[in-house]
Amino acid sequence: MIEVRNLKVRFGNKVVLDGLNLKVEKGESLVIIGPSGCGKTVFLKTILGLIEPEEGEIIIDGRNIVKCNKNEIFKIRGKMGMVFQSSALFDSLSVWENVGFYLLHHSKLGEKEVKEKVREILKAVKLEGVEDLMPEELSGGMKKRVAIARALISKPEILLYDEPTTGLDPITSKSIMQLMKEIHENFGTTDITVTHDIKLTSFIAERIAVLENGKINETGSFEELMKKSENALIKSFLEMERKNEERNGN
Amino acid sequence: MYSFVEVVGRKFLEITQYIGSLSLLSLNAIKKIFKKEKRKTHILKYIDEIGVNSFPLIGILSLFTGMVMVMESANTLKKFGVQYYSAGLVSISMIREIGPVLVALIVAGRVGASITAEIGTMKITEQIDALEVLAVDPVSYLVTPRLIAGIIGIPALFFLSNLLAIVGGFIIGVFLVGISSGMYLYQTFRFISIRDLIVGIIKIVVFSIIVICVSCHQGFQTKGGAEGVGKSTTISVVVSFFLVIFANLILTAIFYFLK
Repeated sequence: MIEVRNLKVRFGNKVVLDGLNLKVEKGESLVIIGPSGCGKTVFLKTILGLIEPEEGEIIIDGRNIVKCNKNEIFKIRGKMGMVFQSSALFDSLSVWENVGFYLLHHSKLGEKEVKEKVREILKAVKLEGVEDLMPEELSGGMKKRVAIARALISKPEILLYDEPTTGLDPITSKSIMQLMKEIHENFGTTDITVTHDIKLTSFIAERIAVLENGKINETGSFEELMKKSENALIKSFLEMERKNEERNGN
Repeated sequence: MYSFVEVVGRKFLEITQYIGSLSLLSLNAIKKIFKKEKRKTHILKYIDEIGVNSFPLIGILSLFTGMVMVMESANTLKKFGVQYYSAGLVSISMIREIGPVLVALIVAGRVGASITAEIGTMKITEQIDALEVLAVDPVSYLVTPRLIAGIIGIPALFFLSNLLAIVGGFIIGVFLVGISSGMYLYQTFRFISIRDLIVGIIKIVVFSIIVICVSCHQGFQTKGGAEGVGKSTTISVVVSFFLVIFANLILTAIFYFLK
């Protein structure tokens, strides 16, 4: 469904992605891990067409978005949803206007019908009765749920999550992880998540890709990577996981 | 260490790039004025922000300006026995020169700064990216409605500003200098022609486009955190001031030669 070939992204003299190759199958939940600043967010934004690559191809449903014009990219983005690290809710709009933003701009539905759809989608992310609140009145976890609802309202085939649990307390993180898993199972979306949260990775990943030095160095399931990988990052992840289990066991 | 030539070259490239991207954004926003989109509510909201909310400040400052102009000019003109000409001086200079510049500079400081801060904050909190992801063009959504509102709201402020400057001049001219009210009003409108009004309107429309486009463009250029927003806001006001005064020079020269 998504195929990235020889992707190269550069900011000035700094090469962030350097010949990255990756294939994501339809309905798969892929987690990209990597150290801070390795280009995980840049990768997601490049897939969305927000950053123009220097070289390479990004094929989504058979179309190379690198070669598409703005209108074509907007059409392809209709199939995609993105949950930003900072949630990126429009702070001048209420919750329902944020969630219903796509429908208000791209459908012929009236305000009443959009509000109804918003209520339905907020119910699906377990957030009810907040439609008329403003983003500043929400907690971090609630903001994340609203951001997920906003990404879901266009019924996307592909969902991209940028560090979805960063800055959340452990209990809220757990509930967001469960929500992501439920959405993946119930909506059948193809998910790409970038994170350095080991718990989130082990919970939602069907496959993991390790991004280092601008390339995908390894891919495999959580268990496969933990068993065979010699990668220092994977080993440190494994160590953290082992410590977590020990702590939970005690 | 960079040599002098390298520093100058780098600065020149930066300025060229800035002018290029500002021109592209402005043309893009102007082009989109003619595109049919749902934005009536937005435009009304921005007219309120740009025009209605700026009126008290612009009104008071214009009143004071009119008063000062009559006080300053009447004393000199009195020596020639033609102090009533100060009424015409206020109306002509407000409509052709001071009015458009005064209004544009106040709007740049009051509204332009807040537009830059708002768009800049949206930029650093990824809200602009979110707009793109939701397949909404940020220029159509953020710039064009403000531009339309500016082109309607700022010229309206210009007319009110002229009116209040004349009122301010009238108060001083009649009650302090001793010009009769009939003579003052006669002298006020005696020298104004349609051409003066057209010059003033053209100037204020051009200045409105400059202030709104510079403010929005600087918002999109914002980088970093809160400090970046602060820097952008300052740059936006400085660039708007510079371009308004520079455009005034160019337009005045054009109208001077078109006489």
